[in-house]
Amino acid sequence: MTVTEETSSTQGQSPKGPSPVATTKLRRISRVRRIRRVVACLLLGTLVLWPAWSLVDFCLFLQRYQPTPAIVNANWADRDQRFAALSNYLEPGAVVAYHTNWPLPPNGSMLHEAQLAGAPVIITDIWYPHTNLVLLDVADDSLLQQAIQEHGYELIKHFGDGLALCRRDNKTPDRQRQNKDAQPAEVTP
Amino acid sequence: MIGAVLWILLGWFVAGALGYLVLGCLGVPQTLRRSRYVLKTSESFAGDTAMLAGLSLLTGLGMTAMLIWLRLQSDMLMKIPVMVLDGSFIVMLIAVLGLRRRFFPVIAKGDEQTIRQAVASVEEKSGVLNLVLMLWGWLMVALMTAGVVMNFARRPWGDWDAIMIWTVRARFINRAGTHWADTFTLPAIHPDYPLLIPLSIHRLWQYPMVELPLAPQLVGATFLVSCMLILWGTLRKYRGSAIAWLGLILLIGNPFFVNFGSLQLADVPLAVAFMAAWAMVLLASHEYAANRSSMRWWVVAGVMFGLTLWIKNEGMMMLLASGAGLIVGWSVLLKQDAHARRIVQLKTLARRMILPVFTGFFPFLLVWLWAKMTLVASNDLLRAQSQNAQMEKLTDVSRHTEILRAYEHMIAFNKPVWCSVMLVLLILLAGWHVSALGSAGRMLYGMAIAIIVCMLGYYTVYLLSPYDLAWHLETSLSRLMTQFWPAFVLWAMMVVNLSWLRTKP
Repeated sequence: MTVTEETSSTQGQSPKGPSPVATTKLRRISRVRRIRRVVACLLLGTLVLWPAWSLVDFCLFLQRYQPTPAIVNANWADRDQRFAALSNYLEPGAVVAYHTNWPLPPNGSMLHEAQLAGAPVIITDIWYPHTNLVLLDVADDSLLQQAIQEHGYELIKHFGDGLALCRRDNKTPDRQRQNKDAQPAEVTP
Repeated sequence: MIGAVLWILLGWFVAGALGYLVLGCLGVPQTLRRSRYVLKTSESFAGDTAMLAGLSLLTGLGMTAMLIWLRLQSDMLMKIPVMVLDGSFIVMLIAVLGLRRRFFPVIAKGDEQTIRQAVASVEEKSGVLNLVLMLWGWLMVALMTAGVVMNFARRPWGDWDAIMIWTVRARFINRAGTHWADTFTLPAIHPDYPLLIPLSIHRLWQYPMVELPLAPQLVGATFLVSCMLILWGTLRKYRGSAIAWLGLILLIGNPFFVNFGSLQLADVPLAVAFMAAWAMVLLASHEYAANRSSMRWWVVAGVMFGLTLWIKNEGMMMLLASGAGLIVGWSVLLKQDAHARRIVQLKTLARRMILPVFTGFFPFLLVWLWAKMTLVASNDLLRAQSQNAQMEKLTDVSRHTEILRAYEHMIAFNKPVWCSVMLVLLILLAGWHVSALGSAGRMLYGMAIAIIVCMLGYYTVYLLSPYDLAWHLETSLSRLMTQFWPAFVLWAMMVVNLSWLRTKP
């Protein structure tokens, strides 16, 4: 019901004009209506002004906390170039487990970005049990040999820039740890 | 590089043109013109144009994605370039449109003169309030555009969900060729999710044969822009310019909506399709009550409901909730024909409303079922939970408490939720306007029910979630709430009575 409807429905007027009781009632309703309108106007004003604050805040957040487009584009170009060799080497749909010692970038995880760059090869996390292929991704080639020895992998293909395809088996230290730590999953595939 | 960008833009334009032609075959643009001029209603040209543009973009994306799906199913079609396929479809639609105009003209001969004469009589004069809100609205649109462009530049491939669920699958399809289905095997990429977005991205990449981030960005931006156009157009049609601008300002004032949209998350496309479907339901009800042909609007509503199914799995919940809302809305709508016999009412309902909605919805249902049967796999939220485990979760008080606490936390700290509360308060203080809007107004009860039922449905999904509940709530609640934002803004702006601001009606 609208404010106008409410007011008109409560007006009790006699043929000679409104009675004193009706006049008082009318004044009270009028006052209430005015207050309601003032509060509604305030709410409306807040609602109209709020987007300016929220959108400016949003733009400032992006400006302050997101990396600049130049850095982002350079990172993506570098990643695409590194993973192109992997995509060409394996069949579409081949599954590899992803192993990296890179720190997480500020936005996005290494695995997700590797997956986007490495498609149509499927890149899963290191705990995925149904593959013996490991994609080793380290900062540069000098760390590669050390990482292979540390985790007990067998090198299959070296793509350069700290990227290599390896093989693991159940005897590798990492795999033994995985098997030991494996928890019964609540959701079975 | 510039050439590739232009090719992608061409692909996008072709999708919009296809959508317009599909709507043209349904007689939508012609009907809008007729209702505006021949019937001399005060419905605005700008509102209709905006709505038509938004609907064309959405329909175009939905239809072209279906076309790409058919292409993927056949080795022979895979050899045909996407551009040729799109071109053939356009030629076919133009032929259908020509035949339609020849044999089923929406505007009778001689009406054109009436149209031209009537133009001047229907233009509205804008007041100072309209002007102020319009200028403020344009300023907000400029701020939103700045945010969207910054997000596109700084996170070109969007957020994690966008990468792992949508864009990666588009790349699998794009790079694996005929072996694309072999790549849809691991749960990490959610192979059971619908394919509208991946197929749309893949289609745009096929134009220049280069995988630029512009394609997913354009798909995300299309949904944002369509949402603005449809919301503004619908409100402009029913509630006048001031409320239309107010609604638009509120819509884009929600930073979650703008952020998720520009980060290419599928929650915004889903929200847009849901809102557009209900906008069409309101329009169809209005036309039905005005004794005009409403059938084509019900068909478009069906197309929009189909899009919800073809965008994201949550669309199923939205469809169920909308079903409940439509039943309520239809029963209210048919009550008007109190003199008609019950059986006649039911026949009218089936013939003039349910059947057209299903006609628009059916192609999407078919493709969705086809994809479900050929690709995967049950949903990760539903599989391998015994009935006993589900019952235990439903009756576990601690889970209810945890979900309610998350809602409470969201109400306390999420500013768009404050805004929603303020909108409800505004409606309570300023009054509501449902009866003044006639049948479209009565349908708003159904829309409110659809939103509430869908929220209750999400609550149940959280209760049954196989994941760690705290993690699941933390990572998805704000996104799920954003799915209702456009529909809620449309509903609130349709309902609120601001006649004391001298707005229409």
